[in-house]
Amino acid sequence: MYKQVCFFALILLIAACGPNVDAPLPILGERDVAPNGDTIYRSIPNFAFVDQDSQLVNNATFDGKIYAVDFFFIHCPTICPKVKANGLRIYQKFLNDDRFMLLSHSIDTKNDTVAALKRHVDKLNIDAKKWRFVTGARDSIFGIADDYFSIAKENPDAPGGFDHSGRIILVDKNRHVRAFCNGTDAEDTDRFIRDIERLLKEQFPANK
Amino acid sequence: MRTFLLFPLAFFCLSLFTVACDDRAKVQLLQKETEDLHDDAMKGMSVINRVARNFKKEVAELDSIGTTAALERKAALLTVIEQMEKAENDMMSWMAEYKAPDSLSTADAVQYLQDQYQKMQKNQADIKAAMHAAKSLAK
Repeated sequence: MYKQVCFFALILLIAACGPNVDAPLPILGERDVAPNGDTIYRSIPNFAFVDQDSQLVNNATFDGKIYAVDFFFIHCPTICPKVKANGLRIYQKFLNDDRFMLLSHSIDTKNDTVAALKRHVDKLNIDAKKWRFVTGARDSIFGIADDYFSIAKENPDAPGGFDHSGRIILVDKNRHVRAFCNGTDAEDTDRFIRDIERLLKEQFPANK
Repeated sequence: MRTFLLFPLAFFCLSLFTVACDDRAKVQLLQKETEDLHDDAMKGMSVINRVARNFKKEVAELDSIGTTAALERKAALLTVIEQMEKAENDMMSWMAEYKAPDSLSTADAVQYLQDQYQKMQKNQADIKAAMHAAKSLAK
Protein backbone atom coordinates (compact mmCIF):
# COMPACT_ATOMS: atom_id res chain seq x y z
CA MET A 1 0.00 0.00 0.00
CA TYR A 2 2.80 2.35 0.97
CA LYS A 3 4.62 1.61 -2.29
CA GLN A 4 1.47 2.34 -4.32
CA VAL A 5 0.96 5.70 -2.59
CA CYS A 6 4.60 6.65 -3.24
CA PHE A 7 4.26 5.61 -6.88
CA PHE A 8 1.16 7.77 -7.47
CA ALA A 9 2.75 10.69 -5.60
CA LEU A 10 5.77 10.42 -7.88
CA ILE A 11 3.53 10.43 -10.97
CA LEU A 12 1.73 13.55 -9.71
CA LEU A 13 5.04 15.26 -8.98
CA ILE A 14 6.36 14.55 -12.47
CA ALA A 15 3.13 15.79 -14.01
CA ALA A 16 3.27 18.98 -11.95
CA CYS A 17 6.85 19.66 -13.02
CA GLY A 18 6.07 19.27 -16.70
CA PRO A 19 5.63 22.29 -19.04
CA ASN A 20 2.50 24.29 -18.40
CA VAL A 21 1.08 24.64 -21.88
CA ASP A 22 -1.40 27.26 -20.67
CA ALA A 23 1.25 29.54 -19.16
CA PRO A 24 1.77 32.76 -21.13
CA LEU A 25 4.76 32.90 -23.44
CA PRO A 26 7.57 35.04 -22.05
CA ILE A 27 8.19 38.49 -23.50
CA LEU A 28 11.64 38.21 -25.04
CA GLY A 29 14.41 40.77 -25.17
CA GLU A 30 16.01 43.26 -22.83
CA ARG A 31 13.84 45.18 -20.45
CA ASP A 32 14.11 48.41 -18.57
CA VAL A 33 12.37 49.92 -15.57
CA ALA A 34 10.33 53.10 -15.91
CA PRO A 35 10.52 55.81 -13.18
CA ASN A 36 7.17 54.60 -11.85
CA GLY A 37 8.56 51.08 -11.49
CA ASP A 38 6.82 49.58 -14.52
CA THR A 39 8.79 47.17 -16.68
CA ILE A 40 9.46 48.42 -20.20
CA TYR A 41 9.89 45.64 -22.76
CA ARG A 42 11.62 46.06 -26.08
CA SER A 43 9.13 46.37 -28.90
CA ILE A 44 9.39 46.31 -32.67
CA PRO A 45 9.90 49.89 -33.91
CA ASN A 46 7.85 51.65 -36.59
CA PHE A 47 8.25 50.28 -40.08
CA ALA A 48 6.76 50.91 -43.53
CA PHE A 49 7.28 48.73 -46.57
CA VAL A 50 5.48 47.90 -49.82
CA ASP A 51 3.94 44.52 -50.52
CA GLN A 52 3.42 42.39 -53.61
CA ASP A 53 0.27 44.35 -54.50
CA SER A 54 2.04 47.71 -54.08
CA GLN A 55 0.13 48.24 -50.84
CA LEU A 56 1.69 49.97 -47.85
CA VAL A 57 2.46 47.56 -45.02
CA ASN A 58 3.26 49.09 -41.66
CA ASN A 59 2.62 48.52 -37.95
CA ALA A 60 -1.05 49.51 -38.41
CA THR A 61 -1.50 46.56 -40.79
CA PHE A 62 -1.12 44.27 -37.78
CA ASP A 63 -3.16 46.28 -35.27
CA GLY A 64 -5.07 43.95 -32.99
CA LYS A 65 -3.35 40.88 -34.44
CA ILE A 66 -0.38 38.65 -33.78
CA TYR A 67 1.95 37.83 -36.63
CA ALA A 68 4.89 35.67 -37.69
CA VAL A 69 7.87 37.29 -39.38
CA ASP A 70 10.75 36.05 -41.48
CA PHE A 71 13.39 37.32 -43.89
CA PHE A 72 14.08 35.61 -47.21
CA PHE A 73 14.80 36.17 -50.85
CA ILE A 74 13.15 34.56 -53.86
CA HIS A 75 16.26 32.99 -55.39
CA CYS A 76 17.70 31.64 -52.15
CA PRO A 77 18.87 28.11 -52.98
CA THR A 78 19.48 26.75 -49.50
CA ILE A 79 17.74 27.92 -46.33
CA CYS A 80 14.69 29.66 -47.77
CA PRO A 81 13.00 26.69 -49.54
CA LYS A 82 12.90 24.81 -46.20
CA VAL A 83 11.62 27.88 -44.37
CA LYS A 84 9.01 28.41 -47.08
CA ALA A 85 7.77 24.84 -46.70
CA ASN A 86 7.41 25.24 -42.93
CA GLY A 87 5.94 28.72 -43.41
CA LEU A 88 3.26 27.21 -45.63
CA ARG A 89 2.38 24.75 -42.86
CA ILE A 90 1.95 27.66 -40.43
CA TYR A 91 -0.12 29.53 -43.02
CA GLN A 92 -2.41 26.52 -43.64
CA LYS A 93 -2.87 25.89 -39.92
CA PHE A 94 -4.14 29.44 -39.26
CA LEU A 95 -5.60 30.22 -42.67
CA ASN A 96 -9.10 30.91 -41.36
CA ASP A 97 -8.01 32.69 -38.20
CA ASP A 98 -8.21 36.45 -38.73
CA ARG A 99 -6.29 37.11 -35.54
CA PHE A 100 -3.05 35.87 -37.10
CA MET A 101 -1.04 37.04 -40.11
CA LEU A 102 2.35 36.41 -41.70
CA LEU A 103 4.94 38.93 -42.90
CA SER A 104 7.92 38.02 -45.07
CA HIS A 105 10.58 40.61 -45.92
CA SER A 106 12.84 40.18 -48.92
CA ILE A 107 16.45 41.05 -48.21
CA ASP A 108 17.26 41.05 -51.94
CA THR A 109 15.94 44.53 -52.52
CA LYS A 110 17.71 44.71 -55.88
CA ASN A 111 16.03 41.75 -57.60
CA ASP A 112 12.90 41.02 -55.53
CA THR A 113 10.85 43.88 -56.93
CA VAL A 114 7.13 44.26 -56.28
CA ALA A 115 6.44 42.47 -59.58
CA ALA A 116 8.82 39.62 -58.66
CA LEU A 117 7.13 39.28 -55.24
CA LYS A 118 3.75 39.21 -56.96
CA ARG A 119 4.86 36.34 -59.24
CA HIS A 120 6.27 34.53 -56.19
CA VAL A 121 3.01 34.89 -54.26
CA ASP A 122 0.94 33.78 -57.26
CA LYS A 123 3.09 30.65 -57.56
CA LEU A 124 2.51 29.85 -53.87
CA ASN A 125 -1.25 30.21 -54.42
CA ILE A 126 -1.85 31.92 -51.08
CA ASP A 127 -4.14 34.64 -49.76
CA ALA A 128 -2.03 37.76 -50.25
CA LYS A 129 -3.98 39.63 -47.53
CA LYS A 130 -3.06 36.97 -44.99
CA TRP A 131 0.62 36.63 -45.88
CA ARG A 132 2.29 39.86 -46.94
CA PHE A 133 5.58 39.80 -48.84
CA VAL A 134 7.35 43.13 -48.64
CA THR A 135 10.27 45.05 -50.03
CA GLY A 136 11.71 48.48 -49.32
CA ALA A 137 14.98 50.35 -48.94
CA ARG A 138 17.75 47.84 -48.23
CA ASP A 139 18.96 49.63 -45.11
CA SER A 140 15.40 49.71 -43.73
CA ILE A 141 14.89 45.99 -44.33
CA PHE A 142 18.22 45.06 -42.76
CA GLY A 143 17.63 47.54 -39.94
CA ILE A 144 14.29 46.03 -38.96
CA ALA A 145 15.82 42.53 -39.35
CA ASP A 146 18.42 43.51 -36.78
CA ASP A 147 15.64 44.74 -34.47
CA TYR A 148 13.78 41.43 -34.67
CA PHE A 149 16.88 39.22 -34.48
CA SER A 150 18.51 41.13 -31.63
CA ILE A 151 15.48 40.19 -29.52
CA ALA A 152 14.86 36.68 -30.88
CA LYS A 153 18.20 35.08 -30.10
CA GLU A 154 19.28 31.82 -28.49
CA ASN A 155 21.88 33.38 -26.22
CA PRO A 156 20.58 36.44 -24.38
CA ASP A 157 24.15 37.67 -23.86
CA ALA A 158 25.13 37.47 -27.54
CA PRO A 159 24.99 40.72 -29.54
CA GLY A 160 22.41 39.33 -31.94
CA GLY A 161 21.36 40.79 -35.27
CA PHE A 162 20.21 39.41 -38.58
CA ASP A 163 22.21 36.35 -39.60
CA HIS A 164 20.34 34.65 -42.47
CA SER A 165 19.51 31.69 -40.24
CA GLY A 166 15.93 30.98 -41.30
CA ARG A 167 14.42 32.08 -38.03
CA ILE A 168 10.65 32.71 -37.87
CA ILE A 169 9.62 35.15 -35.15
CA LEU A 170 6.28 35.59 -33.36
CA VAL A 171 5.10 39.10 -32.45
CA ASP A 172 2.13 39.90 -30.22
CA LYS A 173 -0.50 42.66 -30.37
CA ASN A 174 1.79 44.99 -28.39
CA ARG A 175 4.73 44.58 -30.80
CA HIS A 176 6.64 42.39 -28.36
CA VAL A 177 8.56 39.32 -29.55
CA ARG A 178 7.18 36.25 -27.77
CA ALA A 179 8.73 33.23 -29.50
CA PHE A 180 10.83 32.15 -32.44
CA CYS A 181 11.80 28.93 -34.17
CA ASN A 182 14.31 27.55 -36.61
CA GLY A 183 12.22 27.69 -39.78
CA THR A 184 14.34 24.99 -41.45
CA ASP A 185 13.41 22.47 -38.73
CA ALA A 186 9.99 20.81 -38.98
CA GLU A 187 9.88 19.77 -35.32
CA ASP A 188 10.81 23.23 -34.12
CA THR A 189 8.10 24.62 -36.39
CA ASP A 190 5.58 22.25 -34.78
CA ARG A 191 6.55 23.68 -31.40
CA PHE A 192 6.22 27.20 -32.84
CA ILE A 193 2.69 26.39 -34.05
CA ARG A 194 1.81 25.39 -30.47
CA ASP A 195 3.31 28.72 -29.29
CA ILE A 196 1.05 30.58 -31.74
CA GLU A 197 -1.95 28.75 -30.30
CA ARG A 198 -0.85 29.67 -26.77
CA LEU A 199 -0.44 33.31 -27.71
CA LEU A 200 -3.86 33.41 -29.39
CA LYS A 201 -5.43 32.00 -26.22
CA GLU A 202 -3.61 34.56 -24.09
CA GLN A 203 -4.27 37.63 -26.23
CA PHE A 204 -7.86 36.77 -27.29
CA PRO A 205 -9.27 35.07 -24.18
CA ALA A 206 -12.96 35.46 -25.03
CA ASN A 207 -12.78 34.11 -28.63
CA LYS A 208 -12.45 30.69 -30.26
CA MET B 1 30.29 -18.46 -75.72
CA ARG B 2 27.42 -16.50 -74.21
CA THR B 3 28.58 -17.31 -70.72
CA PHE B 4 32.12 -16.26 -71.71
CA LEU B 5 30.82 -12.82 -72.80
CA LEU B 6 28.40 -12.38 -69.95
CA PHE B 7 30.91 -11.61 -67.22
CA PRO B 8 32.91 -8.93 -69.09
CA LEU B 9 29.63 -7.32 -70.18
CA ALA B 10 28.33 -7.28 -66.62
CA PHE B 11 31.64 -5.85 -65.41
CA PHE B 12 31.51 -3.12 -68.09
CA CYS B 13 27.94 -2.13 -67.14
CA LEU B 14 28.82 -2.06 -63.48
CA SER B 15 31.84 0.14 -64.19
CA LEU B 16 29.73 2.58 -66.21
CA PHE B 17 27.18 2.74 -63.40
CA THR B 18 29.88 3.35 -60.79
CA VAL B 19 31.49 6.14 -62.81
CA ALA B 20 28.10 7.81 -63.38
CA CYS B 21 27.29 7.64 -59.67
CA ASP B 22 30.73 9.05 -58.80
CA ASP B 23 30.22 11.95 -61.22
CA ARG B 24 26.78 12.71 -59.81
CA ALA B 25 28.16 12.56 -56.27
CA LYS B 26 30.88 15.01 -57.32
CA VAL B 27 28.22 17.43 -58.64
CA GLN B 28 26.22 17.13 -55.42
CA LEU B 29 29.31 17.76 -53.31
CA LEU B 30 30.31 20.80 -55.39
CA GLN B 31 26.76 22.14 -55.16
CA LYS B 32 26.71 21.76 -51.39
CA GLU B 33 30.11 23.43 -51.04
CA THR B 34 29.03 26.36 -53.22
CA GLU B 35 25.75 26.87 -51.38
CA ASP B 36 27.40 26.51 -47.95
CA LEU B 37 29.94 29.14 -48.98
CA HIS B 38 27.10 31.43 -50.00
CA ASP B 39 25.31 30.95 -46.65
CA ASP B 40 28.53 31.76 -44.82
CA ALA B 41 29.14 34.87 -46.92
CA MET B 42 25.58 36.06 -46.23
CA LYS B 43 26.39 36.35 -42.52
CA GLY B 44 29.26 38.67 -43.41
CA MET B 45 26.94 40.68 -45.61
CA SER B 46 24.59 41.26 -42.68
CA VAL B 47 27.51 42.59 -40.66
CA ILE B 48 28.79 45.01 -43.31
CA ASN B 49 25.29 46.31 -43.90
CA ARG B 50 25.01 47.05 -40.18
CA VAL B 51 28.38 48.80 -40.11
CA ALA B 52 27.54 50.78 -43.27
CA ARG B 53 24.29 52.01 -41.68
CA ASN B 54 26.20 53.23 -38.62
CA PHE B 55 28.78 54.92 -40.85
CA LYS B 56 26.00 56.67 -42.81
CA LYS B 57 24.62 58.10 -39.55
CA GLU B 58 28.06 59.39 -38.73
CA VAL B 59 28.43 60.93 -42.22
CA ALA B 60 25.18 62.84 -41.68
CA GLU B 61 26.52 64.17 -38.36
CA LEU B 62 29.88 65.14 -39.89
CA ASP B 63 28.11 67.23 -42.51
CA SER B 64 26.99 69.62 -39.81
CA ILE B 65 30.51 69.97 -38.33
CA GLY B 66 32.33 71.06 -41.48
CA THR B 67 35.91 71.12 -40.15
CA THR B 68 38.82 69.77 -42.22
CA ALA B 69 39.11 66.74 -39.93
CA ALA B 70 35.38 66.10 -40.25
CA LEU B 71 35.53 66.31 -44.05
CA GLU B 72 38.50 63.93 -44.16
CA ARG B 73 36.71 61.48 -41.91
CA LYS B 74 33.59 61.77 -44.04
CA ALA B 75 35.56 61.03 -47.22
CA ALA B 76 37.16 57.98 -45.62
CA LEU B 77 33.78 56.71 -44.43
CA LEU B 78 32.17 57.22 -47.84
CA THR B 79 34.96 55.21 -49.50
CA VAL B 80 34.39 52.26 -47.20
CA ILE B 81 30.60 52.55 -47.50
CA GLU B 82 30.98 52.35 -51.28
CA GLN B 83 33.19 49.26 -50.89
CA MET B 84 30.58 47.62 -48.68
CA GLU B 85 27.69 48.44 -50.98
CA LYS B 86 29.55 47.01 -53.96
CA ALA B 87 30.12 43.74 -52.08
CA GLU B 88 26.41 43.67 -51.18
CA ASN B 89 25.34 44.36 -54.77
CA ASP B 90 27.66 41.65 -56.08
CA MET B 91 26.07 39.21 -53.64
CA MET B 92 22.58 40.20 -54.77
CA SER B 93 23.63 39.70 -58.41
CA TRP B 94 25.08 36.27 -57.63
CA MET B 95 21.86 35.27 -55.86
CA ALA B 96 19.72 36.32 -58.81
CA GLU B 97 21.88 34.55 -61.39
CA TYR B 98 22.69 31.29 -59.55
CA LYS B 99 20.59 28.29 -60.56
CA ALA B 100 20.97 24.73 -59.29
CA PRO B 101 22.44 22.80 -62.27
CA ASP B 102 19.74 20.13 -62.33
CA SER B 103 19.20 20.29 -66.09
CA LEU B 104 22.89 20.33 -67.06
CA SER B 105 25.02 17.37 -68.07
CA THR B 106 27.44 16.19 -65.40
CA ALA B 107 30.44 17.78 -67.11
CA ASP B 108 28.62 21.11 -67.61
CA ALA B 109 27.31 21.03 -64.05
CA VAL B 110 30.81 20.52 -62.64
CA GLN B 111 32.18 23.43 -64.73
CA TYR B 112 29.23 25.66 -63.80
CA LEU B 113 29.55 24.95 -60.08
CA GLN B 114 33.31 25.48 -60.11
CA ASP B 115 32.72 28.90 -61.73
CA GLN B 116 30.03 29.78 -59.20
CA TYR B 117 32.22 28.67 -56.31
CA GLN B 118 35.02 30.94 -57.51
CA LYS B 119 32.63 33.88 -57.86
CA MET B 120 31.33 33.32 -54.33
CA GLN B 121 34.90 33.01 -53.01
CA LYS B 122 35.68 36.39 -54.59
CA ASN B 123 32.53 37.91 -53.09
CA GLN B 124 33.34 36.53 -49.67
CA ALA B 125 36.87 37.94 -49.94
CA ASP B 126 35.40 41.34 -50.91
CA ILE B 127 33.06 41.24 -47.91
CA LYS B 128 35.98 40.42 -45.59
CA ALA B 129 38.09 43.19 -47.15
CA ALA B 130 35.25 45.67 -46.58
CA MET B 131 34.95 44.53 -42.94
CA HIS B 132 38.70 44.95 -42.49
CA ALA B 133 38.56 48.45 -43.98
CA ALA B 134 35.66 49.31 -41.68
CA LYS B 135 37.60 48.11 -38.61
CA SER B 136 40.39 50.56 -39.44
CA LEU B 137 37.84 53.38 -39.22
CA ALA B 138 36.07 52.14 -36.09
CA LYS B 139 36.32 54.54 -33.16
